[in-house]
Amino acid sequence: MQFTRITNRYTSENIVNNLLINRSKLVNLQEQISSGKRITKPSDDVLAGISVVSTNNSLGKIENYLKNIDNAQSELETAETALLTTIDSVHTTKELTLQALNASSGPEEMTIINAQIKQIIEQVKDLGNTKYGSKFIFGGLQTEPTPFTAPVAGEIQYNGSPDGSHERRVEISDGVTIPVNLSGEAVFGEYYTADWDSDVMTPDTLDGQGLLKTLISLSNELAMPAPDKDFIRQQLDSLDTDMQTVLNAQSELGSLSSRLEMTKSNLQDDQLNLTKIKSGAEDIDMAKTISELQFQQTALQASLQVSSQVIQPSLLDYM
Amino acid sequence: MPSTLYGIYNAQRALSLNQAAIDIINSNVANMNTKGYSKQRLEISQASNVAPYQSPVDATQSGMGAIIDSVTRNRDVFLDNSLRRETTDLNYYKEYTDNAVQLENIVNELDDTGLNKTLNDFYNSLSQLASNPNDFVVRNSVVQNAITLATTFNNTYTSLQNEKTGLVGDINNPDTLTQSKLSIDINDLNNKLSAVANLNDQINLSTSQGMTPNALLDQRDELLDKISEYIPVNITNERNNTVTLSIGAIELVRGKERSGFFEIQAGATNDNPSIVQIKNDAGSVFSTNAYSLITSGKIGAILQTGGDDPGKLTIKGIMDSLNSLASEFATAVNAVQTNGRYIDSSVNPNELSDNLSNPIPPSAGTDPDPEDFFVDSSGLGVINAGNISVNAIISNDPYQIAAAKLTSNLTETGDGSNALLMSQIRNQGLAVLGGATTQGYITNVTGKLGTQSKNIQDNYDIKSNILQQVTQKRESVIGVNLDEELTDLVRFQRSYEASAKVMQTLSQTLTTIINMMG
Repeated sequence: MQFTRITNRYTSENIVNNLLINRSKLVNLQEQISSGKRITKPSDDVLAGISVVSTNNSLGKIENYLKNIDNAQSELETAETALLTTIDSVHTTKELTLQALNASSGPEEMTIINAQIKQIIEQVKDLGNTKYGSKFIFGGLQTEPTPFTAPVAGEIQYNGSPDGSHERRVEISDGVTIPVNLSGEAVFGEYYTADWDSDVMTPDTLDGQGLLKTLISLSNELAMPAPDKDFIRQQLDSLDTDMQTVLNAQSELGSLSSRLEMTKSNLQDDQLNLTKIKSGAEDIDMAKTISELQFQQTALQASLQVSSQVIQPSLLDYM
Repeated sequence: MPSTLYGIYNAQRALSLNQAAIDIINSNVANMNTKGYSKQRLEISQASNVAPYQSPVDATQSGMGAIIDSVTRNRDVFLDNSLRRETTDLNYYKEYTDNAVQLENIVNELDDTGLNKTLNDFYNSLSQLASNPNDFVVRNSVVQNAITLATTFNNTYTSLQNEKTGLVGDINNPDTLTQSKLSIDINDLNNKLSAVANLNDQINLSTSQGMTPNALLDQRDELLDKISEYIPVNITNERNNTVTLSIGAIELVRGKERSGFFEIQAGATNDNPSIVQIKNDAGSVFSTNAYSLITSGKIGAILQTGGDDPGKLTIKGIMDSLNSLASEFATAVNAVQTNGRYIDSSVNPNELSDNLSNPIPPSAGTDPDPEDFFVDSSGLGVINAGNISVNAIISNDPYQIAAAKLTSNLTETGDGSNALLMSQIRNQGLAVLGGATTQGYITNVTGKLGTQSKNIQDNYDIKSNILQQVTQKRESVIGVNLDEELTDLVRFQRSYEASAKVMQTLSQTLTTIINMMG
């Protein structure tokens, strides 16, 4: 039979080694349980480590996109409220215009109607100057100085970014941006005396377009001693066109909102999935780890017990 | 016919032989737990019955007792050699593991403080800025996040540099070359080589005088075990129990001479700050760079971690990666920044910087063109991870971040499209980073470091197991077994008693004769 010559140093070294291994396994498990993490450095599990880093990247981005979407949604809601009020104003104006066209309306009624229309003009101007936070939302890229101003009483000028280059875009997912504002110029229009100071040959004239032009023209006409009813009737058609513009803008806002809502729910799904992946990569399975810990404790106790018995006996005990 | 007193001489010799055996047991038991002690054995043989003072005719009849041949050590050269080879490898992987784990701790991307996290915060705040370009608080948070990011780059870089300096020194600071771990280990190693040469000398002397210097041999074996921890060394046994040590084809110790020793020379660049040479006391240089000879052992691992071998896990490799990342990132951000318009806060109401048409700076001291976002704080001219910092112009006035695009009108301060472009750098593959995005690159670096570190740790575990087995095997040869010694003790005690009894009997026999004479 083969046998190994067991020397005292052999035995003690063996025992110490085994105890060290058992203890380090135990400490490792204890650390895992107290931190709740399976890996503390990439080499603990390279694939899991990489997956933690890359899910962290994606989660950070998603968090940011969701924040952008929330902001954009609030901003769009503010715009939507403004548009609803505008639609009401246009309705009221139409009623007032019909009253003015009524054969029984005399100069006194005209004055009253005009006063109301002036109120509406003021209201539409204020709606154009709606703010979200500290930003004027209908000024395009020019969010700070007031976009709709009255350089002269009875005129309203739009000072914001021109229609077409007005879009402020936010990023709502990788490489996808979405505009969060409408052109104030397109929705509300303007009507003011253009100041051609650089060109003395051109006379200063009232110019503009859209709702505000219609409203101001109407008001100016009503202020005339004998308002031209045909002109007023024409304004009624213009009001319909302007109404359509506002309605179109409203539906644009609606589709932007629903796009945001859809992206948001996709991102939230992604967020949930990624969190699961990350947790699977770095978190411990508590039940499994605790039972491993108990197993390891038993192993340590057993090896301690066996070691104490192995060290003791020698021939000396029997001499 | 032997002389009358011949038997008494024999018995006396037996007594002293048994006495010597018990002395050796004494020594074995005393050194039961001494590291490096090899169990000694008394080699006994039957005394030759042909002695010069006897006539050959008488020599055939009775035995002449026993004599001591030598005291030998339990030793197995084959096991010693394989243990030393494994020791060299184990210490290589042990040192490399320590270094690799340390690097992983420095470049820690798994927790909430790494580069990845700070980059993320920076991009996110830019994305917020894109929606709120007028908001000072948002601008300030971009600046704060940029500063945190630059500081994280700087700190990681400095920690890596310190780690490298600790291992192999830094040529810009010559003191560190002599205080590095490498230098301390090389000194230790040189001292141990001298000690082996000295022991060779003493052993040679004793052996040539016919003695067996077991204690010295044990001492030298212990030293050879230690030297094997540092470098892969070849050990050849020579006559008179001396050994020759060599690395590659270069002799380090022959006989009583330390024929070669290691010396550190400052390298030409900081990529390889310490170069190990092998020379002798006379000044001859045998190897101008022993890097390719010291492939293993603790010193091998230090040289490789601190060196610039692209195939190995090196601190330089990680620092280079960080440098590429910092420089590419800064270049990308600066390119977008300088191609936009910032808000000139000195004008009321605020306007965009007029870098298109207005040749006069909008206010004293400010330049109409946007300044770089990130600059190099060392004046080196090249941005790296160690010197990347936020331009003071921007950190003093966050309005200088060019959030608006170049084509915006002066009053369009609400334009954040350039800030959006800046935040979208996170999705851009950058050519110098192998087409990876900034954060993708960090993932790659982390993965590579993790894989290399794991590989080294696995090898360390394997080598630990092997070395433990070989050590135990050797212990089972050279160690002391108490049961064995006690059995021997009883054996030699009985033998001693018996020899004494023989002497007593002989003495009584003589007494009988003498009394008869009387």
